[in-house]
Amino acid sequence: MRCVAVLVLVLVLVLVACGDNVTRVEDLPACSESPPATGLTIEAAREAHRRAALRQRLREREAVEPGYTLRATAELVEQARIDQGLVCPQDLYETGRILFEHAYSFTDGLSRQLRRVQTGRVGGPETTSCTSCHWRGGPGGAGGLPDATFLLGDGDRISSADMRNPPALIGAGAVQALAQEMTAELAKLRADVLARAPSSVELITKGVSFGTLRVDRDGRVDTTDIRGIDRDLVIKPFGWKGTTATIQEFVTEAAALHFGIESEDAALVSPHDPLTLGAGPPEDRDDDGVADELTTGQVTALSVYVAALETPVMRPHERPVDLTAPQGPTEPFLTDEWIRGRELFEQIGCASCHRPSLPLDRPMVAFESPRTNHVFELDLSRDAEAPRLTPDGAGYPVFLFSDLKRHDLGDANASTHLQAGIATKFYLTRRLWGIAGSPPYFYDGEATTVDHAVRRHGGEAAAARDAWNALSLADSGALRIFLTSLRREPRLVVP
Amino acid sequence: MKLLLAMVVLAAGCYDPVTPPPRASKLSEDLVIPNDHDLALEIDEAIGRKRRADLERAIDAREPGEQLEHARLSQIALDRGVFTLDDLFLRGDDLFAYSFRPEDGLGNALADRAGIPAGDRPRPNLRRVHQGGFGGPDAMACAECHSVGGDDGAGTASQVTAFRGDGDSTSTADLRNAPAVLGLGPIERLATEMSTVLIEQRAAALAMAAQVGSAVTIALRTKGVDFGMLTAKPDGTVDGALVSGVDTDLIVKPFGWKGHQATLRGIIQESFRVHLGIVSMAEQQRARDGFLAPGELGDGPWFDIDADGVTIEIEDGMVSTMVAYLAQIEIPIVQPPTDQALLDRFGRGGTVFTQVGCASCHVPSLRVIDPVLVTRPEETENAASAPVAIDVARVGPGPKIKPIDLPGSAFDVPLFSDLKRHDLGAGLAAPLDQGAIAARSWLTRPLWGLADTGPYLHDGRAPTVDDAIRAHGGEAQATTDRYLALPEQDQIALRIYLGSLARVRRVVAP
Repeated sequence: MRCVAVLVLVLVLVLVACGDNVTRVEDLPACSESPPATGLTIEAAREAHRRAALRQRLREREAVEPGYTLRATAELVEQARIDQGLVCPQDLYETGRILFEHAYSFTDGLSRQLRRVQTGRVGGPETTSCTSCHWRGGPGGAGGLPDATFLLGDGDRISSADMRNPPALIGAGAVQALAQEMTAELAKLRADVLARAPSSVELITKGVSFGTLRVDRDGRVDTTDIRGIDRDLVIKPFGWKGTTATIQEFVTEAAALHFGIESEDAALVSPHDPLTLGAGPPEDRDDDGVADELTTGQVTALSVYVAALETPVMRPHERPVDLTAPQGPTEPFLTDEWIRGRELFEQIGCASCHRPSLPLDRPMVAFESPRTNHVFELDLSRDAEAPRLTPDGAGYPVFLFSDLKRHDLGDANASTHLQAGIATKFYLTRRLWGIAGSPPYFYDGEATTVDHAVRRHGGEAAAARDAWNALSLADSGALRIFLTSLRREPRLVVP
Repeated sequence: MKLLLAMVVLAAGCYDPVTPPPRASKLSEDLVIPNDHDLALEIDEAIGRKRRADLERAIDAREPGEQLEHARLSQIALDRGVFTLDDLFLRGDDLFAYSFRPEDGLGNALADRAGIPAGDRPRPNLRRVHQGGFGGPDAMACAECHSVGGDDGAGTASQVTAFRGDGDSTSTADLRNAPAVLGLGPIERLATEMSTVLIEQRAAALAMAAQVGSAVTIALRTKGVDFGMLTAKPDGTVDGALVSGVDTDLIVKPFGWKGHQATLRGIIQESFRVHLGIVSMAEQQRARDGFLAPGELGDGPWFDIDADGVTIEIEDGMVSTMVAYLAQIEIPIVQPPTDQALLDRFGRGGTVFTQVGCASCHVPSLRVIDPVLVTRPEETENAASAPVAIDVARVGPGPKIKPIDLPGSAFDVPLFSDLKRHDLGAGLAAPLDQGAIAARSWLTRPLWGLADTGPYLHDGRAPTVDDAIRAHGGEAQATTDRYLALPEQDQIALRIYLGSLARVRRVVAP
């Protein structure tokens, strides 16, 4: 069955690529249910080599025919076919992965003039590929200090901009799924209280309180006492300040700001904080002669890839039994300290914002087609990379170490610019999962270690910070031992 | 996975409309996947490395500082003579990946010191745009700017460094794209041999001038590369006005886009200082002894010149460890296309490379006679310490440079460079001269490993090889014009050829 699908795809692609008239194939057989091989097996190693070979092939194709990758993948993932349910999640994932690893060129619509410091909401662009800033620790990882982006600047001076550390993208699917459920629950609370006016309600979802919403007898909503969320009560879990609600918006915005690659629907996303697009015609607003630089379908594919990235894990330490043969058997290491660290994390108050886990009811991420509003759903418990979400009986716990809420981090952390109307001292609680392999830390990436990052917490986090600083050496060691167990499951890649 | 295979087939699948697509059976996985035995070795290596790194991180979590303590070797430790080059390689690898911290000496505490262009921020005083020659610091780890194509790779556009600016404005800075650090051992050896020959030629000319009692003009030439003319005078002085592509000291300096550092030892210390704010003990001693202008590194006491309270940031043993690591790294390879039609184009591309003139500066291969790189400690108290010798043809992970004959009388270094500076025209000029090196002058960039190092050119302005070729002016203008005049099929062939200059593919566990 699957072979047929492959054959059909090959046929379509070869025909498209060769520029002949394409006979559109109207149906594809059912999707494969096997996600890509990960881990440390020989099959995972083969898979990694196949991917590297594919990259070389695509490079060769680009040499023959510049712009090939974007053209061919656009054909593979047409949004109309995604809307009809004709494109498998697996194919969206693979196509998204190719687009994530692709180095964008001028032929693709990359802006001619790179600018390391961004200009307002026009952006940079500062680079040519997603992997440029998301490489650390493997695919979809974080960036290093030099990769930090300079948001909302004057296009030249570092001091004019807000410096932002590229975060790891792994686990993004589960985060969006949580945000969707929380937003839906808050909308329901809002509707309920409106129906009971005058009244008020404490906005609690998944155990996180977002303050109190009041409605007066005339049905006017009073948001004075809501906390850590915008007045629209939409959880926006992406961006250091929590500015973006969905992975699709994030992808669209990142391509525009960082590459000058304007997707077909760039004008439709982020209505609350629109991108500054050029004055060209609708299909080519940046007026670089390349229309629809990323199609809606390609943005969906990229978003599915990002959503389907592995989930970080909590993996206590181990050490090789024989240090001269580290690939051999291992034994548990620092177990008592790890347990103590986990307790301290709760005791000193880190866990009040960095919530160790939030419960997810359904492991589904929704990708809405911006024009037709058709929704494609990805099942993270089935179609994502391993390790993926697993049920615990009540639902799917997500060990993200965040409450997905904004908090005041104190005057010392105030940003230069007001971003999307968010008060300058406020940041979304950074998810700590995967923290072990991704220095540097903090929103600007200027903290080399977790200790440095903790010391910079102020505002609402001042008490927890003071408690951390007052710990004995053994206790702070235990806490760090616990935090370095928040990491990625080891996997094989061919870079 | 199947889709992946489909894309491989597809990518291989179409060329000229007249060529029928190949059958799937022609696509053998054997060509792209190592055999099970080799693959098992790759996996073991990857897992071993990953486990060691994870263990080091856990130990460091318990007691901060342990990780760096394990990775660095002092000169005293090296002097014991028990550490092998393998040991140095492992430790150098750890140091390359390690994120340095303020407590290790990252950055400085020189904010607002009068006359010191260090910037105005609290320790570690990070600066993404460098402040004059003082530098950043703009990074915390070597690996932060050498991530493209794998460990020890090149930098991305986001990682481009902003040298010699005003500390804030990117438009004042001289941008540099981090190159890959593969194959540097053989490159240093080539440069050393070339310098030796040029200096011998100068000495011979001086001797002859003294003998005949009049000026003698000679052509400087080594390993088939011409470096202009030199006039030796009977009074023992030389006129270097016609020397070209190398400084008048006749020392070939193969490191840096402009070719300003002769040795790995030099570029390592410079990089630690300007990018990480980590000053070596040897540099501090040079400042103490008056070889560096006061204030150039800071105004702290000589043993903590950047005033951050960390006195020994790197000393000789650690520099030697880094040299031994970098010198042992693999060299890039040629990875031809795996199917026949593209293979033919690849072959044609090699011919075009020479025909249009690329090869006249990007010389495909130079030969090194003695592959043993020797690095010596520099601190005054280590004068009696033994140097570290690294046979770059034999030690460290492969691939290595290959002997040209059975006895190994010389070794081919397929670097695609003449290690000489050339004028690349106004379009590629840096904003300002770099010391005595003109703004338009650049060292021929070695092209080996090219495919895995995009974006291209000194400031990363060229996303594709085609863009990079088109930007060449000055001495390369005629070659660029010939490339542009080529039939499209030949341009494609050349790009396929250049795309084959890659690095070995192997699995890692990042």
